[in-house]
Amino acid sequence: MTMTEVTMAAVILMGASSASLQIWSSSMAEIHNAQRRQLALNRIDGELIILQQQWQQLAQHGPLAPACLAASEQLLAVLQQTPQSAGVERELTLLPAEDGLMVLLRDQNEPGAHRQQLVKPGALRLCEGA
Amino acid sequence: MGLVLSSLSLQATALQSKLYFRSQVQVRSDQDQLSQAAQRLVSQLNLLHPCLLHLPEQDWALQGTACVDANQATSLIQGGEGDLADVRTLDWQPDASGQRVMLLLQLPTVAGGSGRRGLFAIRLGGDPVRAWSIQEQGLLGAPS
Repeated sequence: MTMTEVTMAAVILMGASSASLQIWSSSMAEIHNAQRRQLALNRIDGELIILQQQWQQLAQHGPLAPACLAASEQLLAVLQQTPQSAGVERELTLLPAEDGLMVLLRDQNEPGAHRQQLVKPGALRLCEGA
Repeated sequence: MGLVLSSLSLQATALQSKLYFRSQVQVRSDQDQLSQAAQRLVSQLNLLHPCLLHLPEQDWALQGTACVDANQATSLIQGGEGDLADVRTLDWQPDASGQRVMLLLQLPTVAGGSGRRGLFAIRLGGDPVRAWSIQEQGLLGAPS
């Protein structure tokens, strides 16, 4: 084997190793990010379950108010008092007329992880529609 | 050679993780849409058409005349309102006890919709009888 061949082999080996290490490094970072995003999704799911339990518990006791808008306002007050999980943003919006309450949950660090649920007091026997 | 192969394998795993996350986000988005549609439908039934609560969906247009006309019944089956206009009610099936209903909804299959279906357990109770609980039982893929 000539000196030139040895040099060429060394250069190719170094190039391949360097490229492999770069791919390795970026892949590890991506896997780490994916785990972080999955944890964010799980956190939001957990927060949603807690809120769902709140409105299901309320529903067991019958109407909060005859009018659905008033029931939505009371539901909003109850959900606002529910402790919030760390790292999760909670946005509660009272919809106009008798359209209910929109619950938006977002992870503070992972914008892709979010849930949006509509709660209609009329669907849970929390109002009579008067 | 080993280093090259293992890094490529790791890259494939990373790509798979990314795709898995996207699919998880899509599943949750579909769950949310179906859940909103369930809330809207059950609210309409409770407040406007309570006579339908105990009837299977195939009988709504036939027997539900006490609190709904045939056009309204068709509209309840074929879709909700606003953004959820295309969500279809595939089934509303009360059980023999009259305390529980299985609801099956489907997202649109056209215009980017996944066609995914959501199964919900609805609990009825009280006097007068109304639905008071909506529990998601699971998601099903689009029928092939």
